[in-house]
Amino acid sequence: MNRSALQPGLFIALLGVAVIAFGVGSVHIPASEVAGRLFRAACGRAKGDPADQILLTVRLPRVVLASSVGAALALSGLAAQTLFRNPLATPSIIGVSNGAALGAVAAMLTGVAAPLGSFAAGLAVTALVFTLGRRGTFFGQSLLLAGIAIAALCSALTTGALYLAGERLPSVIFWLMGGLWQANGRAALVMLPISLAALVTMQALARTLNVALVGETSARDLGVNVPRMQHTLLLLIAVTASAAVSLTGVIGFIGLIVPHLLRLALGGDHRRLVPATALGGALLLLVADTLARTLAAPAEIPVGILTALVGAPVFLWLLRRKATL
Amino acid sequence: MNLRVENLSFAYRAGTPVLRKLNLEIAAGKVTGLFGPNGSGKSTLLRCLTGALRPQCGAVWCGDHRVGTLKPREVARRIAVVPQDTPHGVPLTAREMVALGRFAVNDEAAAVITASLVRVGAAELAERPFDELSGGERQRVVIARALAQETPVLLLDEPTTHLDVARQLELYRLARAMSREGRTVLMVCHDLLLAPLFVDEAVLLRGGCLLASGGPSAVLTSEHLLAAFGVGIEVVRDTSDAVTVRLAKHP
Repeated sequence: MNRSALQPGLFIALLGVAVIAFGVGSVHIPASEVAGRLFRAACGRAKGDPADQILLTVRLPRVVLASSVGAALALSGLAAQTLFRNPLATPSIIGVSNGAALGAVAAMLTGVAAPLGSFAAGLAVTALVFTLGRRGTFFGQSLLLAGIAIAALCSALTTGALYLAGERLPSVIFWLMGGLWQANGRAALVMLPISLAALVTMQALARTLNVALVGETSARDLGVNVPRMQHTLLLLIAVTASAAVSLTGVIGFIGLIVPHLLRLALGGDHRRLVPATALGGALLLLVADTLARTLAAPAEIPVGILTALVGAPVFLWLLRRKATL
Repeated sequence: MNLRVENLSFAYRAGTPVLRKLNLEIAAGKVTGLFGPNGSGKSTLLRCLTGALRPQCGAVWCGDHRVGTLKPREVARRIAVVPQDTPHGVPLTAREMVALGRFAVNDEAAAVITASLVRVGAAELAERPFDELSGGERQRVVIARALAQETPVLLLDEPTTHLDVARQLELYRLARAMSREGRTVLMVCHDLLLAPLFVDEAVLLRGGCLLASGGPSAVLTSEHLLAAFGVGIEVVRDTSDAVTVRLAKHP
């Protein structure tokens, strides 16, 4: 595969899918009109007709949110894989996703705003895992073990909360399945800067992340301030994954398969891998979300089901491939 | 740039010291071999020399700088390390692996990377995935990475482990050539057959203490080796005073 063509290719595909996503739905907006309507709105000269209303208040936030969450999930997956030097690591392996899900469920059952509870719980769980894991000689390994234990604990508490949910059970379950039906302008405006900040941070750290691939001891010998790098990555994973889960529920497999597939295509150099991962994650979730809201319209399939349906076979294929290496 | 170890003690756990009050001077322009049985503290000493481990007492000096006060990047500009084990599961090509050696100087000069690969005889491996290389090839690429750091000090932790006898000889010659360019080369050695022929100085450790140091013929004597390893080893010297060892009693 031509490595240099992949990044522009992903960008063009993302723009193309975005145009389609702007157009499809209960009210069809032709692709030829989408750019013009968005441009006029940006200049403050929107027509204000129903099509404009739908485009600007429903579909634009949804496309922005899907792309930002997709990029955030993929980048946090890449950060986790590099931090743990394990191509199968994701933010959920250190309990961030499960913690954020538990926070959301607890918030919904107690009447607190779910995104707030979820985001706070995701950060709190990461802080707890960090505190428990920092004593080990090999930070990555002890963090991973603490994370697995805390993730299991959060999962058990979430199940317990569901058991006690009573008549609110369906709405909580629906939230847990993951989806973007609650997308709005505010959510998009929160998520977009977080994703961009994650992208800029990881791109700035790209050379350090390359050195991190050889392990903690050698990375230090080559000049990396290993604790600082680990703390930065951990904070980045906590913020991006918690924010994503708090706004869209648990959407699986993007953090696992996007960095992994792109690593197969581009190699391990993070200077290429980071932007491609952000674009790939944005593209995958935008495609999945567009399918999720159109395949069974007017009903909406939780997007987590679609990403897992695609992700699980790919994951198994990766495991088989790994076994034969 | 000389390395100086002053009164160095290190313990992973309180009460069980791994290094005890070591004093050493490792001179520039020479190959120094670090000998000793398993667990005598050789690798731990190497990690103290780079500041990766903080000694409980004593200090390591690299030229005029106390290693403990330098940042990792500053250490990496002075000291390059070839670790005992080569990494696995690294999704980089051999060339990208060598380029990591340029991290501390923030300059991935292509000429330096190529020259380093050529110097270890790995130029043809440049575009191959690191993980697909044999153990010996990986070892050579990691040595090239250390060369690409262009440091005045080179530490090698059992660098001949994965190499066949021809490659071992090449490595010893490379170490010697590096030292003749003025570098300080310290090499942890397990091999008592070839290493003594190539080192200018030898340091023998036992139980974290210095048993002997000096020229290889003065250090690697039957008495010292018996004391260090607990095995009777006959040492033969040829007319040029080069040391050749063989087991005194075959099992």
